[in-house]
Amino acid sequence: MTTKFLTQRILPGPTWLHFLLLGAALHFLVVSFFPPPPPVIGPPNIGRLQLLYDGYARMAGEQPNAAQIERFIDKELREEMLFREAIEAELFLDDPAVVQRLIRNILFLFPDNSWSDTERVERGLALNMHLTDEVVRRRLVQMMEQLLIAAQNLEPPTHAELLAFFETNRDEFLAPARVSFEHVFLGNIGPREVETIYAQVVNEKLSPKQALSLGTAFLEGYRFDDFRWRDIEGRFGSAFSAALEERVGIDHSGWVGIVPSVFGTHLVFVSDYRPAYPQPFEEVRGDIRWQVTNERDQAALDTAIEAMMNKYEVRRS
Amino acid sequence: MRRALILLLLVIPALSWAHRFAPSSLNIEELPSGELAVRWKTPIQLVSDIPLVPVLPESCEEIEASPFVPEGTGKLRQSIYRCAQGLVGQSIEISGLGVNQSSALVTVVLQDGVSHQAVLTDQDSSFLVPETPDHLSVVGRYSVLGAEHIWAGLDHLLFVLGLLLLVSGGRRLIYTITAFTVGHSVTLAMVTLGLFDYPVAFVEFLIAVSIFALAIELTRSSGHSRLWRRPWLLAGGFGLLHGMGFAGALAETGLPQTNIPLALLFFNIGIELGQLAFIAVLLLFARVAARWSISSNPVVVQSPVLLLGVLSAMWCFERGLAVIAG
Repeated sequence: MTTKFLTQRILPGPTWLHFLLLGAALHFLVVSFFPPPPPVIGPPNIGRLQLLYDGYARMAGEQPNAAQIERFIDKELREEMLFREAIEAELFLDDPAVVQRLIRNILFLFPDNSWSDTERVERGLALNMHLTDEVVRRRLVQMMEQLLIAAQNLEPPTHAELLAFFETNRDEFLAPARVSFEHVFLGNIGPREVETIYAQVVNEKLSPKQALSLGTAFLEGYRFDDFRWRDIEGRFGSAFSAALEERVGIDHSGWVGIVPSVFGTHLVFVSDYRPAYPQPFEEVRGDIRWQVTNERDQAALDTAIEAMMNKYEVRRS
Repeated sequence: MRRALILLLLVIPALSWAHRFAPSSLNIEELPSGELAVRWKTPIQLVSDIPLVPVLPESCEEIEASPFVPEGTGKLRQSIYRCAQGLVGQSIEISGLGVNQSSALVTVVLQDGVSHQAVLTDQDSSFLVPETPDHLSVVGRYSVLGAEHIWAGLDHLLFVLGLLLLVSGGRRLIYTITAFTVGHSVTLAMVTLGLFDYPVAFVEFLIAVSIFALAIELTRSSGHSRLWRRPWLLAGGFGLLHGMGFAGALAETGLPQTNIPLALLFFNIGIELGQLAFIAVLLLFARVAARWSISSNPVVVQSPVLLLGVLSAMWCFERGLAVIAG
């Protein structure tokens, strides 16, 4: 070519520079006017959602309502996105838990192999086990969550913040009520007979020890010291615990009456009762720190996930 | 509060659960008698009460089976099946994958030694045992695939256009296109046969650079540079890069186990045929331009070079950024 190149007629400088400038401009135009479509998340897998619904129904004894279904869908979409981000960041390559899982899976599938652990991991990856294994998926989601929280560089909560949390949530930091009691177990005898025995105990002012001979054997024992209501519920059932709590509310000590349980009927003698009381700040400082940190982490995670979600086109159904 | 607790329990990762989510394994080997030896291993503990069950084609009948025996954290069952219609062209399914949040590795070894392996999941719970293609269908399929690939790859076509503009025609064109063919055939074969691996994004960037370099070369005065005098050096060298690009396309399709050399050969031949067809179209345009006496118009002559230069520069930016982004 002996004539001037096209671009040299209008632009100064060498031709290669013209190509670069025009190429950059074209790249800018393409990116601006024809951006690549955002990656799509969802719709969530029906089978996975059904598992969550079934699990909820099993534990709650009722089907999830519309709001809960939306929460399950949110959870699935979040996890799907975090999993995808974790795969893109290749977090599976360095995590000991994932590596061990892949090794274990390969040993399960090929028990007679003599491969090294490195070869087992390579084989697991070749079989896409990092993409299909549920445990790996959950682990990677968890790692992504931790990374997102760590990326926020949150300062530890200050003393003032802990104190403010304590002040606004005092009810959560009550030391539980404790009760010490003894009982006479009457088994499953009729109510008339029970009334007669109880009247005898009260009229003769029998001590619990003296009254024991009026009842029958009880394998769990006769004396229970410093029990919380939930301990009592675990040992005797909720009906006993509720009835005793009601009686103790009326009469703090001595024979408090006839109390039914899952085992039968009991005559109960309360020897000591200490109601719930607010704990001082210093005693619950550790718990408060954990709760405040946890709430802040969760809020930071929600914000980070929401920002990350904006990169995607989310399809809920 | 209770509901929140239940929700929490449902979402807590159950990493500590034994080996419940372990993948199952279904091995099917076609025996010389035509019967199938089936080995099914599945975890002892599952997430649900619904078992994982391999479902063979309807025409298959179980004629012998052992009870489950424990093997590590799994249980193993071996059985013999007779399939009236064979296994090729039939689907194998694993039921219960979704509800158990599990996967299964299916391995099928046919009598002729051809083997297939697939990982089945809830979303993709069946595997169709493919028919082994004969020579003729491999020739047809891979030739078309090669031709399609070159016609779909604008960057490769522009490189060929650049070479044509560089050498004009005649013997120089034959040598140059041959050098390009040799170059890309070498790397295509080497990568496809697994002799070496390459960084895909970086090679794509270099392909863009190769077209950019060719465009720059085309803006120089003819006969001044060594590349102009020996264009086959440029064509052969950059052909090595383009071959890696072709290999990427072939990897997406996969190769038939029993006919790898044939498939490779005809994929390459398809590329050549597509390339020659493109050159024929360009020569036709050149002839038309000559007939209309516009072939000496600088705008007509230089426009393709401008197109080459600007597009390749754009790809350099686009692919360079992709390399940097990792």
